Amino acid sequence: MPLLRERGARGREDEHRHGIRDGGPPRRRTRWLAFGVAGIVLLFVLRAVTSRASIPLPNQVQDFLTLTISVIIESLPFVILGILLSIVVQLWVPDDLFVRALPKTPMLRRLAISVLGVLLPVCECGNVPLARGLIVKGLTVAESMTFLLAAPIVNPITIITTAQAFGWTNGILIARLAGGFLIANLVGWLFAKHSNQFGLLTDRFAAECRVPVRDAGSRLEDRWKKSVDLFVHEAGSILPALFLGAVAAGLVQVVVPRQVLVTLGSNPVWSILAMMVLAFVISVCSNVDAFFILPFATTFLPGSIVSFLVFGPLIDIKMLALMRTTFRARVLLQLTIIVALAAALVGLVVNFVA
Amino acid sequence: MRLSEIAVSSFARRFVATVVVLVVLVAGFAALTFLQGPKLSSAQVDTTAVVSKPGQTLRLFTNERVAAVRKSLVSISPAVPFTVSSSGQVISVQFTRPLAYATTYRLAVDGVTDPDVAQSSTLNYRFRTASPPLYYLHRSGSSAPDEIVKTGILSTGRSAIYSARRIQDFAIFDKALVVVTLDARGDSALTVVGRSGVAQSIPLPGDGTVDHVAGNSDTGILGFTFTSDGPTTKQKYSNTLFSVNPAGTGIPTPIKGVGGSLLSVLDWGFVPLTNDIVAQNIDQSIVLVDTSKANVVTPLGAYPELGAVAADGSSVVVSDSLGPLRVALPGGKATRLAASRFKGKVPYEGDAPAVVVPGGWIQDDQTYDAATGGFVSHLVFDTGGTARQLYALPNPRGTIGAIVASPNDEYVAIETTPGGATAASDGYAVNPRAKTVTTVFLDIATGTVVKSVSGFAVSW
Repeated sequence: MPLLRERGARGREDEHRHGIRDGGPPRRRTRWLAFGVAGIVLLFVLRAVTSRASIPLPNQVQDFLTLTISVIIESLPFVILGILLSIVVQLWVPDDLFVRALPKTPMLRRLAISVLGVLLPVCECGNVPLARGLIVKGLTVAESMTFLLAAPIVNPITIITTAQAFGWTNGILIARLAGGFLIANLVGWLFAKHSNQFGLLTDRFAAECRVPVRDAGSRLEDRWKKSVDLFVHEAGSILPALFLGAVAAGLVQVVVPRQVLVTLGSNPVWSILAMMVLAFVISVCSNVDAFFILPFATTFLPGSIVSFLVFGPLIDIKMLALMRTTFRARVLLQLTIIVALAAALVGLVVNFVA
Repeated sequence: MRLSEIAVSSFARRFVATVVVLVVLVAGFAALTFLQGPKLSSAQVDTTAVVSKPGQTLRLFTNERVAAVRKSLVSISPAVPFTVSSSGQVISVQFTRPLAYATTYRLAVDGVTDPDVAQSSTLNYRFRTASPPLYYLHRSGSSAPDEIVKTGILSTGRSAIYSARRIQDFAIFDKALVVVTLDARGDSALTVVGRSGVAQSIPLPGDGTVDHVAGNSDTGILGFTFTSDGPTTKQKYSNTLFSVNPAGTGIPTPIKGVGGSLLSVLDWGFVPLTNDIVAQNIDQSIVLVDTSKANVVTPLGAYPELGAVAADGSSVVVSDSLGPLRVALPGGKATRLAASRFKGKVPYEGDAPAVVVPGGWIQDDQTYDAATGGFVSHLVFDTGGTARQLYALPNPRGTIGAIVASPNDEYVAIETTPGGATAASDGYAVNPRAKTVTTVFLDIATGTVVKSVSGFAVSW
């Protein structure tokens, strides 16, 4: 393992030296944070100005603004919560807590990690910074992936909203929970085989992880200062990705008419594909996606609803943008293939049985 | 081979194997799903409305679009008349007539296919119809309050939903009950009683009496005739037909006839499933009034008696000195309901009312009894060719009064007075009855007595 770590670390020293572990947040990261915040603020200002001044915008532009802002409004609170939890994990929780608390056997360890989301009620957007924090804290990348994929679904808020929306109808709630749990463990089992765990990460994030675990300092003052620095660092990674992901999701929804997807809804096989594409495009958070899809429940089959509810929280435009801050593009492609096939399978099984 | 390469190739093998297994499973389940054909996702039918109204629909929702469904591919047990249509993911089975109470219907649709996939499937569905409550008026015959009683055709239980002194008549609506009571002077009062039991008076056009009360549960409208009594009224009314929406303004307004004139009637009735009424003017002329279209009035002829309107609103029974006739609505074409020979004798129909039901009509045939020298009543089901006895009064001197078929024409309620003309009256100024009045409920198909209650004015 140390051998593989070293290989990935080569040539990253410059970045380490400027990282938060060496002092304050780097200027480049601050610029990215400013870009992300400015982009989000610009969208809100544009929306407010055009609506108050009654400036007539083309329908497609209005739709784009509404859809993009809705993704941001849904995600932002959870992104901030996720960053805060990540800071708590990295700086305020004892270093060996997770190592000691989790089972030693890899399989049992991943099973335990996949239900960790019950204690951390954030949606998928917030789980990205949290998963990053868990990697920094010593979990393997595969274990962190297991958490990242399971937590948005095996999560109290998601469970409650899904139960409120569907109850026990057609086993949608059970299928969603079971599907999310199994897919997360399947991915964890698969990527655990990849011995070069840091090779799954982007060069920049891998380099940050290779630096010895930060010393939060014994003084409370130091710890708070590092917390602020880490917030700026993480927000600088995540907020631009959220902005760009929301813009992409809004654009695609404007370009691809939703009706095209809905017309495919009555076929037991095509409806699953349509719902997965819909989930990918609209990038709605797992905490509210059950209510979003509820009106479609009369048109679409239960299996396709399950595929939407399982695939959407794990892979969508916004999540790919967020996860790209952490994982290599090749890894995201592999992850997308596995999750898409598994989510489709869960949906097909539900359609066959229900 | 270096360690890292071994590791990567091991991961690659596991990745490829996982993808292959998932692809095979996805393809397998996709094929199985395609091959099983359309499935029934859910179904929707109002089990209460389906026994009360014609034209009710059972909707079968499938999990995918279905090709057009032919009627020959649909079977229903017990057999009932129906039509079939399909659109998108819905197969609609419309029942031509109301179904039987408390009966399990099994439906099978064969050869259901997706428009793009030849694989067919059979959809099976079964549902049990409701047995809605029925209501009747029970007069105590003493100083005790009268009761409006709720019961069921197939149940023995009864409960009084309203009680008051001297109840003259009532009408039932979905969310309220309208009661007519008589005061000591013989004047009427109208009261609306909500589900919560809160009672509210409906103001009448003055002092006087209410009669011929009827409610239209489809429109929520109450109709009645009003006759002024005493000097306190501003305008005199005589058997004037009024309507009121108890859930709306609560103010009765006269129903207008030809030229906007008030309708003074001998009898009247709502035409089910429409906004029409049939009324018999005091000159015995019978008219059909469309209350929704500026009182469009259609004359239907002149007859001494106005009987019941058929449950499907297609006809009304009238009678003259030669017996009953069926008058088609809204055209007015009259067809005589000529009584078939009963027990080898030609019965006397007189002006006895008849009720038209599918396959024939029900009426009180009276035959001469040489032993007593009088007439004996028999309730018969007449097909127009043969007459089948439904009910014979236990006491030959008894009489048969109102005959009311259930909305689904499965049962008939007949008002009987065991003592006949000699029975003691309850003495009510309006709508009096014999103290012994009894209502008997019969299964029309078999003539079986399914229930008997002390009371009258059955509301299904």
